[in-house]
Amino acid sequence: MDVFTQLALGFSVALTPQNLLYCLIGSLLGTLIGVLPGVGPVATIAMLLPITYNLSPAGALIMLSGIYYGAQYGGSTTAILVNLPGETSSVVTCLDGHPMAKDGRAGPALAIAAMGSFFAGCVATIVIAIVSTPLVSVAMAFGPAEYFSLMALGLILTVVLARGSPLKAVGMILAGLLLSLVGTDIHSGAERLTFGLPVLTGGVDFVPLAMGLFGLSEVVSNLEKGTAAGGEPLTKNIRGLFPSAHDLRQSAPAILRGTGIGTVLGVLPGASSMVASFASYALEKKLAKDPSRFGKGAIEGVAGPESANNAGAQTSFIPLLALGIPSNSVMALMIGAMMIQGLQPGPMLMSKQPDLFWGVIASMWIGNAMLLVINLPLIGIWVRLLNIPYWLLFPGILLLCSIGVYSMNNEASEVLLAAVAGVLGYLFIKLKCEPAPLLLGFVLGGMMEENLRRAMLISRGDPRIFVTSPLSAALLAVAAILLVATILPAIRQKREKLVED
Amino acid sequence: MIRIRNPQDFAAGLFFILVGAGALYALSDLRMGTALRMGPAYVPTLIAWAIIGVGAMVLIGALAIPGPSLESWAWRPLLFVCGATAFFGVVVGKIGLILAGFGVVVIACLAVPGLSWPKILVFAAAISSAAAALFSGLLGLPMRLWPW
Repeated sequence: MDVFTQLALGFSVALTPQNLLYCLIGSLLGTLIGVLPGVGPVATIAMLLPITYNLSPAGALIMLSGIYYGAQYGGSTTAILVNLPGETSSVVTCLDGHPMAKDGRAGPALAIAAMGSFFAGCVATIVIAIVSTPLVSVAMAFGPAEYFSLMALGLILTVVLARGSPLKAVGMILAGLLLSLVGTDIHSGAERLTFGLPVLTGGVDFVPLAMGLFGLSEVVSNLEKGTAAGGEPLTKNIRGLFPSAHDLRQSAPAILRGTGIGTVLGVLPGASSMVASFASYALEKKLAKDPSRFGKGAIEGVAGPESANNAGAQTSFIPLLALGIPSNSVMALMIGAMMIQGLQPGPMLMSKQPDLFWGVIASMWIGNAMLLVINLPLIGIWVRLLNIPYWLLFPGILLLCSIGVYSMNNEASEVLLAAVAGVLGYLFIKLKCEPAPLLLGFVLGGMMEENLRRAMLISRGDPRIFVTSPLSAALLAVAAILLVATILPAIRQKREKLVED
Repeated sequence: MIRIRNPQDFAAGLFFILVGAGALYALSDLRMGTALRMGPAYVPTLIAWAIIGVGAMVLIGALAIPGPSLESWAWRPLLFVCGATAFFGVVVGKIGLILAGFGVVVIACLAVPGLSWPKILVFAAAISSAAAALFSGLLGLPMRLWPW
């Protein structure tokens, strides 16, 4: 089957009225919550995860992907209108998007962001379709040792690309791995790390953990900061929505370059879409005839990073769908959603459930098209949403979270777990420990232990299997080199600081 | 003299060490097994030692290299936000979605100083009935609405 028959299969799944509806609801909900001040994509998905619980697997994944780009698009909207980045990758959008809005050109800025994202989404979808098939056939040849090493590499890459201290990121990964092993051991039936609490015999549940770490702690932190951090939304002077021919001419090459950068960088695990938008912004500034326009409302400064950001967001699905390895916390949430649906993420997904696999890919394209069509006319409504004060929002958000967690199993203890995870999440904010590596470790921990055990059985307890298999050795070598290369400069930097002191 | 130069990292290192030590304590009764036939404690014990090692490195770094001091905690929002969630979990099975939702909103509003009581009560009634209509009515979740 070539790529186009497969994509056709995907569209036949994604275009059923039911799945179109899920895609629409997802994109709308995602945008709605993404626009709300102080709620980024990760928190949005964590909050809406329980809603997809009762859907079919394809419907759930389609809706979640819709929520994901919707939330990202919503993040750019707040970045442009209020100078309030809803997520890290729209920090860059603030730089030129907000000056454009001050200039009365919010309409063209939002429109070009949507168009750039749509174009990038189209390209990235095709790239995913083309790249996945060979990648899956490589992954099919993986044994347990190779799988273990691949996951180790994935985790190390998140350390490399994490902001802040790499050592603390390693600690958070280990904490996540440990957390994933809580509960009954499937091989011996022994209870591990439960501290005698009956709640924990079945293991720590994904949804309450993610909800507490990302949702509740964010609410607390927003209340602490006071969300009036951004300015008044620039709603009054939106003149015209559509970019002029001059705008389009300036943006087109930026969109192309941004798409290229984003597509490549998105595949790498870590803070990929943020890295992509920063890289694209830097490139546009370097290539511009008059770099001084940047920061004052240059439309390329919106078009490039927004395209890069969206392309990266899409191609970060590649490691998830082909290898079963999440590349960032959003993808970790996706794996959580797949597991809730009883799906085993990984290379088998494509051969066992091609309709699901290609349906999700096709729905990404449809979701992007919907965002383009829906959002431009709705900008007025999103703008009005921005005027809602936070005290009117967060009690509703909290109730939504609580009902969501409770409705999964009608278990009181899971809601309590979310509350505890909320306190933990706040502790992590205060200690400047990023929760994302912990979530990735948590998602991969069970699989890593399983593959380690299998590898050891195959090699009769000889740990050298990880270096005698060439593929595994190569993966581990890359991981080791990256880790050393990341931690050493960080230490050196600190030592210099010490000398200065 | 030993001085804590980076209190934030010092606390983070301490946290990692405590997590690792707690895990080792909890695992002490379980069988380790061998690399070939791993017992339930084998992998978690390895990870626990690794996290203690990382914690120690962070801790030592915090003694040597100056860094940010500990930030103060916003206890009020933390208490009421997480408290509201916990409250919901404890009572919803007994008193139903509407009253529990009402309670969540009231408790959550206490996180913000300066909201007047009439405002809070009207707001809570509105949100909890909207939530009941959405989740029980529209989405059809099998949840009790009232205590009776």
